[in-house]
Amino acid sequence: VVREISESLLIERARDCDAQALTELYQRYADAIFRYVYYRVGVRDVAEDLVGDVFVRAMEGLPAYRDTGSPFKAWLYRIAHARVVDYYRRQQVRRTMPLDEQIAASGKAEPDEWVAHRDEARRIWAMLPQLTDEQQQVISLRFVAGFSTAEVAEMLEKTEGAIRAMQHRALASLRRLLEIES
Amino acid sequence: VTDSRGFDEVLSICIDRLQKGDTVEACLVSYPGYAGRLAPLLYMADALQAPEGPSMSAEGFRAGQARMLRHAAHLRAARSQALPVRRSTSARPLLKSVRRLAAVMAAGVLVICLVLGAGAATVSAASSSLPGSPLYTVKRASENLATSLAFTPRLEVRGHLAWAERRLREIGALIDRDGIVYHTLMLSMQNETERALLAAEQADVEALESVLSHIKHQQVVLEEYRQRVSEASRPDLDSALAASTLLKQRVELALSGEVPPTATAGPSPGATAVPAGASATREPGQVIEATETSTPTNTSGPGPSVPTLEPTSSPVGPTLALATLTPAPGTTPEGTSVPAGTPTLTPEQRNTVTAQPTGTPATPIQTYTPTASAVPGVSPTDTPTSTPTGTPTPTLTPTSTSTPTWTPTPTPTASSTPTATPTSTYTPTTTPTETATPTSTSEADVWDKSSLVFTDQGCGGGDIVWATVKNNGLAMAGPTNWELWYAASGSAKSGKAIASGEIPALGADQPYAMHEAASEGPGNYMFKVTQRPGHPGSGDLWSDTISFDATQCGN
Repeated sequence: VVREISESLLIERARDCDAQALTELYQRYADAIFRYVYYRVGVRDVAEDLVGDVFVRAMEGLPAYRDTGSPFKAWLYRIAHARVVDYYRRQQVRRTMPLDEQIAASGKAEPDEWVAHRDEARRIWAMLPQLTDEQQQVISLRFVAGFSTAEVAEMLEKTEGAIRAMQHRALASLRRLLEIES
Repeated sequence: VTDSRGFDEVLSICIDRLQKGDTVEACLVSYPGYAGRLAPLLYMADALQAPEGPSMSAEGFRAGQARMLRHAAHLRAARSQALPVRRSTSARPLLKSVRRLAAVMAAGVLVICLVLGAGAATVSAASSSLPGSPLYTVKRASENLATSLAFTPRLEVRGHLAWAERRLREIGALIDRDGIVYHTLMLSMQNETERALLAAEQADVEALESVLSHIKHQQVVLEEYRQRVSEASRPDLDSALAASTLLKQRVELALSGEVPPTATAGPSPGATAVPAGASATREPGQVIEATETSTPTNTSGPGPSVPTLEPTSSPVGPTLALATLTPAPGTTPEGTSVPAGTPTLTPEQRNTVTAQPTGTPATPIQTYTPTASAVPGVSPTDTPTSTPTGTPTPTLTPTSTSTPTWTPTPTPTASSTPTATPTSTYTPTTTPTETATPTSTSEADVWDKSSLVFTDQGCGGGDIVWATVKNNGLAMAGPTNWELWYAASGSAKSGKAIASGEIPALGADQPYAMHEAASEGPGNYMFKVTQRPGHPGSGDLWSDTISFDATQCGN
């Protein structure tokens, strides 16, 4: 009986540095990780570079990975979060700098086409760096990665209630910021 | 629902609905009482939906993939370069292997795939390697790196417990092979267990309970080893059992909500102190590394390579005795004494009052003259009593003629500044040892309430057969084994075992994947898993038959 190799076996093979398994995992998750990173750093080139970094780190960390029942991609998101934090630490980028200014400062005059026609979304996402780190994480994981509150709670090691409260505060903060800007 | 918490929940439910394609208006209709507050937030959430979010550019995608694969190739190349080293290595002293470990660790991530990147066969070979084996340093380096990459204290706990379990098995394997107990391994096992405890103290009750469960298991196994070794080696195992008891007490204290002993806590009767440097004081989080230079020399001849204090006085009832080692007057320590061995009080010494170490000092000279003070600190109710099953009360009879032998061989460091006063504090209590309360032996058959089940099996990837299991019960107190059976035709159960491996201690609901090359070619394969001791079932669990045919399972 031919069966599709399960993700757990794929991970086992990736631990062996198996190129085929690594490629499969990359193809499954690279775009999702890119979106998460992109929303946090706001610069395409940087985000794409960080994606490569995330997968190299993941490969190095696979021996420590334990399948605890939560999705493998949740583990990848945690690595991605750590890379973003490290990026800001190294670059000393001002977290309160609006996304537009960050893009301009990076020399990338044109934001991506996906936001160009969605002004409102663009304005809202540009305010994300003004939230607390945890609020940014919750918003990114909920709205970019599409995790449930239960999954986010497990990833951030908090209760679901805490995640829901953070989500509420984050949306309220974004709304206030939008009103101020308007 | 009127409170704020209820609102958060309703908001979350509505966001979930939006993500599934529902509309803001529909959600407002569902929760009219909250509509006013929900509306602005839901419109905000709706705007945040990014179903057409950005994707990586083709160039960026390829660049990231190429970078990852280059790294993988680099790791594989490092593995192949390391192979000749395996062949050229001769039998070396255990401690040299441990020393080499530090150098191997410096190789960092390159090493990790030497263990975990060499395919299933190498994984199996490395994980089962013993001290002295070329793969052993790789194995230990991978453990350290893996633990350092653990994200949370709970992961760290599991890692350290897994490594402690490995050390425990290595001790057993070397007892079988050489008939002796390797002291360094024993220290390493204690070290890993203590690291697990330190991490658990930063985690939660569940983590502490897993450490406690592991320690109980460790004691059972050590007791079993004790029965297998010669009389001369038993003190080493007594020391290990005692150290285990000390850690167990720490866990129990932590679980009871009391402040766990740290700096000056002493061992229980017959327990082994785990000294850190020249002092029994250990900073929280400090890790005690067992190194060649920190192993004290025992000049009393064959037996445990640990400094030993033996009692010279009679017991005076349940007494908390403190024996403090201090430098002899007029003695100026030269260099830094690092007695990292395991000062031991044997079970007969639980009421030690005075200890007088003697011995021939090495150079640089540093003599310790212990002073002792008895502190009545335990009420008579702490006196051990017989169990209902008639287990005899522990005999509290110290040997009165024994002469303590405590000859540390300090190793000078680059610094000539004497460190703090070397102090070893012993705090015997009246807890009976395993000889008085044989609970440890009975625990060997106590089921940890784990229950493994096969969840899937199959073949693929060319010549791989695989199966996944899941622990449907409580957390496993230790690992268990799996085997792969093969028969060219008919049931694999009637064939032969062609491979085996270990399933680590799995938490509740935790899955685990096994895979192995279908080395026998076409035929029927079945995985067999042994349940944990005491499992009410037959003990063995078989997967479904995997009918392997290269034309079906190949790529």
